[in-house]
Amino acid sequence: MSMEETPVRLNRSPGPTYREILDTDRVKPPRHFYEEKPFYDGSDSIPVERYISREFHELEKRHMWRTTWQMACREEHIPEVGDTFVYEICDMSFLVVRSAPDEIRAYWNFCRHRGRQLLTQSTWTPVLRCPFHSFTWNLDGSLAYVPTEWDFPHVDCDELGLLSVGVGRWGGFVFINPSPGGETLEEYMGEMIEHSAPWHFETRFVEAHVAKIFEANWKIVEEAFMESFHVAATHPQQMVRLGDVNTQYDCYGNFSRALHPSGVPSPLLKWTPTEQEMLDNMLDIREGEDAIIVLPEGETLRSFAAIVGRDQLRPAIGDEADTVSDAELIDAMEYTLLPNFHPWAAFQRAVYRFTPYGDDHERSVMEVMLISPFSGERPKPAERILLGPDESWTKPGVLGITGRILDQDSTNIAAVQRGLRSAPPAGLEVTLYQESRIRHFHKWLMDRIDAGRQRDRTSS
Amino acid sequence: MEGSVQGSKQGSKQGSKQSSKQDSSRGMRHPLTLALYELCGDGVRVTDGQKVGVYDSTGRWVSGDRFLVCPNLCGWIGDGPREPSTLKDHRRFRNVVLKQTTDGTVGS
Ligand SMILES: [Fe+2]
Repeated sequence: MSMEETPVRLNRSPGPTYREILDTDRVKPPRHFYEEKPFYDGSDSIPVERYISREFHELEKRHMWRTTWQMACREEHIPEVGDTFVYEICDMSFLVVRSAPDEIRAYWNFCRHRGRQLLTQSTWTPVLRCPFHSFTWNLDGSLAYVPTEWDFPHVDCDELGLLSVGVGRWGGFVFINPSPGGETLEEYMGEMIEHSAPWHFETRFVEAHVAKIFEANWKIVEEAFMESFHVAATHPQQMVRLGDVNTQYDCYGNFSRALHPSGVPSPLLKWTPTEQEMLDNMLDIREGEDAIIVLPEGETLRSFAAIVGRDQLRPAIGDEADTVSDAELIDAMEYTLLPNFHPWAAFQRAVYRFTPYGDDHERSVMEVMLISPFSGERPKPAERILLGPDESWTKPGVLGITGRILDQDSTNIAAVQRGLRSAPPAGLEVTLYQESRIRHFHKWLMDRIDAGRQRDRTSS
Repeated sequence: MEGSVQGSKQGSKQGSKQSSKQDSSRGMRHPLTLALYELCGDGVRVTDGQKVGVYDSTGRWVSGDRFLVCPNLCGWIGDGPREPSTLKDHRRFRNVVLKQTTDGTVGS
């Protein structure tokens, strides 16, 4: 069955749908917001082995990480010719190199003489020289210098360029693909490029960059951010003004998205908050405390937040701000470009990435970048701060309230890994709709692994 | 944004509301159960109907009545800010213009 077809009617939450909420807005969003792409591919449980088995991790490495587009860094991490960025995934290491003012190349990070990594940390360098014996390559990957060339009469040095990998650029991000097989990043991203074009991620800079080590498989961490089913239990404080179970989930070829309506109550509430109560909740006004903003007569929280949002954008984009939809200014919309890249949509600033920690299938790293607009000279990107498994996202003091919400999410993650480890082998029963992005992710992953195994069988 | 800001907030911080600010228990009702979660000396006091118990910020029972509480709301209250929030805590609304009017409220 194609990943696009939905042969059954998936049950949906009571309460207004996302499209019905859009109908109440003053400035309507682009057409794709009205598009629904529910995903259904059966109701099978998810095998626990995918999170705890070393063998499955090796399959992911061989058939997924080696053949997929993945975000390596931002262009601003390598602004000058000669800047290099060491990108590592599992046991693979790559050099992303600014080889000319508007050219970025990437190579497997190893010397073709004895295999040493050419660089072990990101730095500026005029050439790529192996510290072991001084074999040297130009930034464009061509061989520049062979020490004691007389002793290599058996080698055609012209054939000894660095082994390059695919490079793609989008929104100020640099992606690599160790073996793209003819598929460009643009083809891989498909409609996501058109969806995101108005948000101009390339005009932002990395204002904050915080990463945290988790004692769990990377997919457990990522999947904790692919549904808002968990809001009622994990983030109950948000329910007064966040649609949770009526979030819309859409799955496309290599990406999926969640459109969480904000400024409306959860359909799970047995009472109806006023617009002012929803604003107070958003502003963390507690029981008995005075409001700090009183909604003007006739405004809803959605319409008010949209007006405030446009005023914030105006210095950067002028009157174009008036055409930005209410939804883009208030809703929490996240995209996932599989396997592991989660930019929040529109004018939210957060971008998440999830990777294994080194080559460890039971530890992982979640990164949060805040990418913000700037005026004048481009500021330097923030250095990455790495937190240990027991450290709070609030510790660096740069994520604001998001740090506290991420801490709530974080309480579940290692406990899931330990639960899966201790349980008898079984499958996980996940919902059909609310966790459909997780089902789509697993279908995407298994399609790649199955195709890779098939290739291995035919070639052996 | 034009309009709609409660200017008395600043007054309330330095003026007549100061005592209530100092006493603030930063309480919040659980949106589903409507139980009240408040800061108290040794943790989070949870009031659910007639039952009142104190729990720590992981949701573990400390004293008083024992009943089912939400560990995540215990954490949100127990590990959260002790002071009421102000506009500058909220990036989205930080630039809302304070426009003082004669009655102490703000509007446009
Ligand atoms: Fe969450």
